[in-house]
Amino acid sequence: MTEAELIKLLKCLADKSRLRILSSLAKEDMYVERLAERLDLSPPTVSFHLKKLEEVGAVKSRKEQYYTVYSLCPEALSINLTEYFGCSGDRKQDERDEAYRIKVLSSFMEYGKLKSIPAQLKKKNIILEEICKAFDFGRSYPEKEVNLIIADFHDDFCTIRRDMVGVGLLSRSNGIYIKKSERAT
Amino acid sequence: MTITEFIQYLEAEHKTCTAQAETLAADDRRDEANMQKIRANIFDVFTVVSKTAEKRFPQNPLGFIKERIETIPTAWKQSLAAAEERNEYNKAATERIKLQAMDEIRQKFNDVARESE
Repeated sequence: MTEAELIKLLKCLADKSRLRILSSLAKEDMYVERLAERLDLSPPTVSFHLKKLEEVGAVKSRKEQYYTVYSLCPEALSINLTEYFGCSGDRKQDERDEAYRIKVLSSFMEYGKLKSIPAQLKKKNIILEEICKAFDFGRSYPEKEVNLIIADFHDDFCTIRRDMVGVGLLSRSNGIYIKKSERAT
Repeated sequence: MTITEFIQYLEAEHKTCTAQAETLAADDRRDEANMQKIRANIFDVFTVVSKTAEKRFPQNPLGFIKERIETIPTAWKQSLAAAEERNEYNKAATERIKLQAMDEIRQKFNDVARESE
């Protein structure tokens, strides 16, 4: 659930009448008039609340003969807030990292080619990780092949090859390169 | 019922709706509180219309009020139809509340008009 969805849900539930409607539906599915009678509210007021609850996925409706019957959606209300707060910080950071990555790639790459090698380390690592995707895990690459693969991105394959080894994306031994990681260290 | 009593009715309804709005808001029923505020506003509008009629047309205030009762809700009905077509249930609910209050006012006004004949 995104932050915006959670806020929308909690705002919707922050109403006594809607909580009472949900409590009633937790016991049994009901149509509008029955809920209105039970909760001493007018049917239009109940309909209004049910529309709000349906909008956030807390209830769903189905047609039964002449009536529209409403039922609870337990899965929508099963959110574990403690767990959500534990993960949400990471989730926000992941979203920010991904947005930054996309920004760097669109600045420095065009039609799959690298326009220039970034000077800033953080940006360079993003580019190197992107180039690293052209390599497969579990495969040995002779230096010539590594050069050819990198040259597809940029003419200065020597610098990029050296940097990829330097940040731990590739390992080198006796002129043979192996992909070690997808994340630069 | 005289025009003065009609105005008193409108003012009393306005007061009742306002008080109910406060009670509902305090009871964490904010949407229903807002509905009562909308109702209160309609009674307030027609209080002003009636007082204006009383001042400007002391000989025949009812004619002025009747004309307003017919014309003012026209826009609300159009707004309701448009909102229902676009599934804007919030907007539709607001217009229905206004029209419901209008129906109550019209009913009361018709009693006033009948008695004054």
